Amino acid sequence: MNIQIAESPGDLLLSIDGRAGIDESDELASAFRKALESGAPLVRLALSGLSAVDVSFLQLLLSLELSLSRGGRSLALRPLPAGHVLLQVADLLGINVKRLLASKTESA
Amino acid sequence: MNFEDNQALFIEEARDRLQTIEGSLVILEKQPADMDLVNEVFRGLHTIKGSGSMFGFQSVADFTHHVESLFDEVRSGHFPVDSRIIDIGLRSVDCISLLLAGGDGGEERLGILSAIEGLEGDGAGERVSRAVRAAEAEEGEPRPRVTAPGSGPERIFRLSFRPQKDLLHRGVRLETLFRELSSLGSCHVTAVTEAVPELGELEPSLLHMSWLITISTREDLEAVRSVFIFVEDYCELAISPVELGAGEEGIMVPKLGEILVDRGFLQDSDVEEIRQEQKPFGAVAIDKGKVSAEHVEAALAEQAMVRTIGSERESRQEAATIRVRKEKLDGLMDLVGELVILQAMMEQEAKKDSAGAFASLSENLGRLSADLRDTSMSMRIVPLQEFFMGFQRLVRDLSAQVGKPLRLEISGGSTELDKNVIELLKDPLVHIIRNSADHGVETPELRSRLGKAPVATISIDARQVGPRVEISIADDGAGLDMGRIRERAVEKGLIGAGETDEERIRSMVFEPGFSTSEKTTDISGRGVGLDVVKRNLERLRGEVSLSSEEGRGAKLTLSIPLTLVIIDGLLVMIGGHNYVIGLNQVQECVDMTASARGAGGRDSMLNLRGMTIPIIALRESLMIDGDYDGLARLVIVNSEGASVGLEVDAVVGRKQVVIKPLSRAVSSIKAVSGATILGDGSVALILDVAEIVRARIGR
Repeated sequence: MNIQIAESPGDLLLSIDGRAGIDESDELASAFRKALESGAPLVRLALSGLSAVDVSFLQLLLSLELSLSRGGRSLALRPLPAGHVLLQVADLLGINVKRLLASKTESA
Repeated sequence: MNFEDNQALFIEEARDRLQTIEGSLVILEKQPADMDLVNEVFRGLHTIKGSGSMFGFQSVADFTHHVESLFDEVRSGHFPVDSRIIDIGLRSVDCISLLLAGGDGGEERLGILSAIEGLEGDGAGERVSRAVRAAEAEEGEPRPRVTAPGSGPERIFRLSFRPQKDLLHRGVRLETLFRELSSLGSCHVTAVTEAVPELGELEPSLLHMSWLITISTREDLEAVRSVFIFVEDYCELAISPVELGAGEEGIMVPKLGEILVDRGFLQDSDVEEIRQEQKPFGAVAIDKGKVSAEHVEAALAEQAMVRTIGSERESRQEAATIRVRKEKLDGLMDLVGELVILQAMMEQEAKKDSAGAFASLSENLGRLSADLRDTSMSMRIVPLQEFFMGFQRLVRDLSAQVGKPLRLEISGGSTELDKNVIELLKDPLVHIIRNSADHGVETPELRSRLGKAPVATISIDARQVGPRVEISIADDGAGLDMGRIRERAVEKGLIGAGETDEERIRSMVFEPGFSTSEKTTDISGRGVGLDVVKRNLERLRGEVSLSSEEGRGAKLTLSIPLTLVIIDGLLVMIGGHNYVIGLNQVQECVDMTASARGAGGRDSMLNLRGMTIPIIALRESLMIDGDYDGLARLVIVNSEGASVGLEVDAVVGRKQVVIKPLSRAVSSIKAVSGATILGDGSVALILDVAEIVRARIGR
């Protein structure tokens, strides 16, 4: 897994490639916490490079979104190609990613 | 039943389903918001896929899986119903038909798959193909079962799954578990995420979620529970069947509030309070903080599943409940025919012993065999609706071919007819509809100038009239050009220049090779082929008539007997042999007096109440030597709209006869269309009146 954080005035971009499962969950949580602590009003996620995800990653996403929204901040998900592994697993587990993130999805 | 029998049964059933799918797709094109139709298409494809795989038709199952996935996307609202979806659906129906017939679908199959892949929108097409490819490529993961669903009735289970927080530490992959669960049937999963904490409190390897699942499946509760066998010690799992309440009109769909109470999310008092608002129940319940959106979503999914099962059961009840191969019914009918003949023979013998027990037994057997005959016949009688629905596709395709907006109206689809007769009607109806589309209805521009609706209507109507069924095919086009027909008929020498009888002129369109069209298209040539329609109808002991109103349209009416197996006939005697004339053609019987006969000998004319009727001596037609010494009788029949007298030695009487096919040796004799065995064991030939008239007087 590869995580990159790029900060710019007003927002923070978190790019994640590779596997994002239970084995990577500590590392991912740490990266998410850094993003939260940055204080950036907008945290953007670029996840199209993910090759595998599981329920723990989706739970981390939900938790990050909750933390940001409670602080009056936003999470934006960069567009994902149709049939992307994240959308597939979210569908399978009944986690409504679109409901949580679609309104804040960035345009391409 | 062996495996081959099952395969044949599958093919037959799949073809019926394809016909239903095709009909649904054509209607869906006009009513794209009708999700019941989308569901019907999806379910049909799903069944073909599952059964196909089970009976060894892997190519059918694999291809259908792709199309089913597409309609699953449509069903889920990820893709709108538009002309591309309908086209892919209809092309797929054709392709699956080819695969069922043993073909490989060739380029068309690949063309459809790339059309699915090329669909734009929200990427549903790509998702379908990606999902299929992923499923094919994935190793070690349980693939969705491509098998027929379980054998039990469709039922719904409600699951509440709350895993222990450390479940993921035990190496459990929830994705695998949910994939296995969804392979059991139609599954709706809702994750309850309200317990997920903020990042600061989250231990990322622990689970803070639970799930509400609703599954509609033919499997039993144990099969559902077995999916959780490796996690049951590490979770709270509750599985309960959803009671499907039956009302007078089928399954009662529970209200949202009832489901939420049943699931323990609401109290009865909450329901009353929410109902006071007179607004959508779910939205109010969430706004008031009584339930979460996730609870409402799960309840709505359950409600939708109950509705689906209800409509499926309803449609199953409407259709036949047992599928029996047509050949078996034909075989049964043959045996019943033999029994009827045997019974008639027995009755003949019993007459010699009118006071004895034998006569009474024969009478009882007679009643039983008549009941058995009627019951067996009714088994082959099916409603015409499904048959008619097949023409929706034809009209749709013709509309595109001829560049005229067309719609097909169907009425009387509940009228029933012998399945064998229905099969033989297909070609004539196709021909008539093509004629209407190509030449009967005007172009949209002309219709607009004439103040007609731009969309032309072709209508099919059926109704039962006594022992016959009448099927009318009408259009609201220009009607027949009587002047042109008359002109062409005179040119061809079919009628004299002074002919004024409209019915006679109209009947010219049934003459072989007759057409008023200046050009023939690859769809039809007006008039060309209507003679074939007429001949085909006559083979069914049917009749065809035509009416037309200039500028208002034309109507062809086909009159067909309910069954081809047993007919009402008039038994006549010629040269010591019995013959049968179809009673539907008989007008009356008269004595052949010398005064009634006009001038001339055989095949002369009869003056009947001032009307001149041609007479055909059947002795001549049937090449029977000798003359009849007694007073001959004339059977006046209607043949192709005209009265003709058939001269016979004697009229024996009315008789219901079981038609037996002719052996190959005599099947080429045109004057005879079949045979029957009479009560005394003798054989009577059934006369083909139309052929006899045609041969003798050329009509």
